[in-house]
Amino acid sequence: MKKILSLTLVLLLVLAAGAFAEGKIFMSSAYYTAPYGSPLQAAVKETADKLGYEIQIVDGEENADKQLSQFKAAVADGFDALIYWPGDQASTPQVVEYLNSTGLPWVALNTIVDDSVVDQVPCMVASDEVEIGRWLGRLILEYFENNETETKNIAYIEGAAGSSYTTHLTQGIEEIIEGSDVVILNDHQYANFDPSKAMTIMEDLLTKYGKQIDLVVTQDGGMFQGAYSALDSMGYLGKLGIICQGQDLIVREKLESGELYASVAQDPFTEGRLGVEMLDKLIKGEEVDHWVYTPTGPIYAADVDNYSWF
Amino acid sequence: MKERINRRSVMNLMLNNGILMVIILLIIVTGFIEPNFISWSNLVNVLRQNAVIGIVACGITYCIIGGAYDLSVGSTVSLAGVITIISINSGMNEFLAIFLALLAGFAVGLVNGSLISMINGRAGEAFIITYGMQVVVASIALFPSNGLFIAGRVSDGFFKTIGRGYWPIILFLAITIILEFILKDTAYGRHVCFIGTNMDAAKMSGIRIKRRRVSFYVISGVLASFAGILLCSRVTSSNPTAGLAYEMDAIAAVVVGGTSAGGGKGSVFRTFIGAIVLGIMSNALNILGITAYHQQIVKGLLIILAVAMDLWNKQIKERWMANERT
Repeated sequence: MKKILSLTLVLLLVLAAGAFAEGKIFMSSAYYTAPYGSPLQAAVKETADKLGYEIQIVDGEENADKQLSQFKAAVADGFDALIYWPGDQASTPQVVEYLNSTGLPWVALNTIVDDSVVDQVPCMVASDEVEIGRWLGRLILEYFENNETETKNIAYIEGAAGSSYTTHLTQGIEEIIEGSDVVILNDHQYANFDPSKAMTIMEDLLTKYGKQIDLVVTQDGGMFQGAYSALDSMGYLGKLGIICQGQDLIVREKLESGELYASVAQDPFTEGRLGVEMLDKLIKGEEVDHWVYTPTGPIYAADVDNYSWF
Repeated sequence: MKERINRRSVMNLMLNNGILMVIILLIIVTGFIEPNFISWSNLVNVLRQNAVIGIVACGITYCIIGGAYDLSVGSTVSLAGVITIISINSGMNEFLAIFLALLAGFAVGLVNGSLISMINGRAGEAFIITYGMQVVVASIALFPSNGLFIAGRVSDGFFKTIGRGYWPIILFLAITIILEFILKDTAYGRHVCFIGTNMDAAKMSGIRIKRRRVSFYVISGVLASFAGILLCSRVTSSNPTAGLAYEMDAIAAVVVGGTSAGGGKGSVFRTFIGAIVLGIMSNALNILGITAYHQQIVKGLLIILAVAMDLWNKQIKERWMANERT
């Protein structure tokens, strides 16, 4: 009896392995638990299901070595295609080189890979992060055109120190406001995309600069919430403008209430869907663009219904 | 002889309060450069900002004095926040939501304490077990929120009030006073110190070590939950990773305050000072416009200095005692 059971089990395992040998996609997500990661991964899963692929998504914990090990294990496990969401631009070369050495179709998602290996990526689905920064810069100039203020002073709260996303956004803003009268009052202040840290930084900036601040700019919706709470608790709400990047529900709510001037879109749903669609084309041997841009642009109160929110 | 005693008194004062002196110097210099720094509103600001980490640190003080660590507090802060905001958003009574969050902290503390007591673990085992718990609780916090930051649908009431105005400061002070009283003036407090100094001796003297150890982990868990509730009230939102690295900041506050990292000796009041010292430092550096990179260096050096001073303090006092004997 035991023998029959064991044989049946082995047979089932072999059959299962055979059944899933085709169409298995593996994704290592560096920002698995980040607010942006959840809707993006949901979109990846949904699109993969729709296209008939089995998908496994694992947490890369923003660690390139860990992601490399995960990909090695996935290749050994017989996955057919790979999606790489890198943690940080600088840490990508070793992973990109390994992924190319496997001969499997793969795409890079969301974070742009390092310049030294950018040509080696079969397909990259990402926003142009510097362009998001440029959009923030354009909104800053537009805000000061539409709202007359004596000065054009900004309090600027950034994401994570050393993250390419954060530096690219800042680079984009600086490109646009360079040569204008706009002044960023504070030196780099990083809230690590955490609302409570953003609140603390905003409170300190209000203590130092107070009424000198004309506009607050944050790099995501969570930090916007923190800055908003600080402005609220210190009695500055409505006395100065706020601009942020993000498609969080809180952003939508405050756009509609008029407390947030505008936001810059970075749509996780579109990005996730495009990632799997491009990978599907690569699996089928079809041609794809080297860099598929996730659409970005400003969101105002009037057009909130045109976007997906999370 | 008199001169030697005076010199010792000065040295004692400096070793015991060195960090405080450094921070007073920082306050004077910062206040001179930026007058807004020494204002009532900024003082309230600093106290309010550091109430959350301070409350976590107060709870962890009992663990450290008792010769153990609790690394799960950061995740507990996140979990409590997620539970509170999700419950309130679903229309639950806010008091019930707060109770549920506190219950979660109680459960985390109970599991930590029970496991560590069961294996008769020392600081090393406590470190690993609570680290494991940190990972588990952090994952649990991600489930209900799906990893997302959640904005609270909070109306005016008790929950919204406790994070505003002077309330976080009052609550922080009240918790400090109560825990300091228990630590210094009750048999329970003396047992905690005794366990931290020499667990085997405490056991032989009849102290119910297991119960005591479970109890200080429960205190740590409940206070971490309470801090999580306060944090959510402040930002009217929850972030499932909000408490990330809070355990290290809380341990830093305890050590900078002067509680011995080796256990057996310390004070909750000193932890209060430690949390405020770190808060003032961060606030001063922000106001002076020092970039985040440099701020981390200063913070790290301050923590190293605090541990070094604790060790020098012990060594110098041992040398004095040896000299007196000879």
